[in-house]
Amino acid sequence: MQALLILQSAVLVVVVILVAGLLKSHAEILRKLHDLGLGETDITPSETSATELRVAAGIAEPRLDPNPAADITGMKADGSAAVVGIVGADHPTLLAFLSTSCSSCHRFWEAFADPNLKLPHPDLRLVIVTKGPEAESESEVRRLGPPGVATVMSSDAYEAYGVPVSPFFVMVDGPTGRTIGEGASATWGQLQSLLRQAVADATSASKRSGRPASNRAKGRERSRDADEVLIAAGIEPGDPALFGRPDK
Amino acid sequence: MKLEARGISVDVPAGWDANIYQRPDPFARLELRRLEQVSAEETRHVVAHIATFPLPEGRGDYGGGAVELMGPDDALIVIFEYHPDSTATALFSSDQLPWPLHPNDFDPNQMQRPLPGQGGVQRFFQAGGRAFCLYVAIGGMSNRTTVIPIVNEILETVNIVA
Repeated sequence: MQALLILQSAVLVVVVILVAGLLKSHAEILRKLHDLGLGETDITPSETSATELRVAAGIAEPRLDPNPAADITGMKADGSAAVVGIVGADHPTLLAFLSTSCSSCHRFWEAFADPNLKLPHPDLRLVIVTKGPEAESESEVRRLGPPGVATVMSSDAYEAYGVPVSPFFVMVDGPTGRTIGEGASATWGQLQSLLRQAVADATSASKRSGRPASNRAKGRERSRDADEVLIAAGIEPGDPALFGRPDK
Repeated sequence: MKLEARGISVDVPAGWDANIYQRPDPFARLELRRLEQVSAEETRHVVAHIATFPLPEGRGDYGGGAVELMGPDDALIVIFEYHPDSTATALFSSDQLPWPLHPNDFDPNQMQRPLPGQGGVQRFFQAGGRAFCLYVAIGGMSNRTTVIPIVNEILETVNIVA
């Protein structure tokens, strides 16, 4: 058992190094894009050093020691208060830190709004995080927020995850609470290729650890089955019978 | 992690989702509204959802669209506010918080939408001059003895003020 744990830890370290290397190359691409005037920065030139990696101001620099993952508390664009569970959840979470004002982010807002959006793993949960209402436009977040995707406004989350720039992505393995990848990307396509590898590696590590897979997929199947039964009974989505008063 | 909004607060365990929101009360006192005896704001209700699983967007107030996603170890807690006038009715007469819950309280037939293996419970009460229904759904009746103590731990942290 101890040998298994050591092996798992070694594999995770290798995965982190591989992902960091890939993100570094993508950061270079982003740097060039940023030179063309794309992207949004939260970093002033004085915060960067000429001796650091050749990454332009505002472009996320890969970190081998990411901030610890944490659950997110914030506000939704409808004004409600929300907590998004990440650490301890039985699924991985992809946090997409986006802004409504940066041009690079708009590609992701659009990509995430695609009804045919495919995430690289059925259990992977996508959560969009913007800064809080003191720094973001609620109406714009409401307008851009893709239906069906959790979107939370939280400057605290930006701080907790040490987000240097938008867009920025962090992937967290729920059961272990470990950040298994983070960095910037210019397009959803680029990010997908990184995610596929990271998720596959994380899933393999999970299987090796003997951790049970999420049973939520069964829930989705059950949902589909229930819908089929209801439709067969003539009860379509929006049918008044589905919205009866609970106290009757 | 404490979540607090609109007079309701709850400690949310790590990895759980929660959402406290407000929407127009579909069962509002329409007659009073028509007579302009109450404002639109007064005919809005607060809903709190606390779940072991990712809460889907666009779900119903009583968890429609969410309970279908529950696995056998999952639970959904709903605290649903009714119009304050409801506190005068027999249904909401209890001013005792309706927890802790007992595994035997749960029944598949108490689900808003019965689903195989799942169970639920509803309790009506008033607190802080406000009328509420507590609705808890669990993904697996066979796991209720392990899931419900966790639910009770969370319910113990719920605080409601006027």
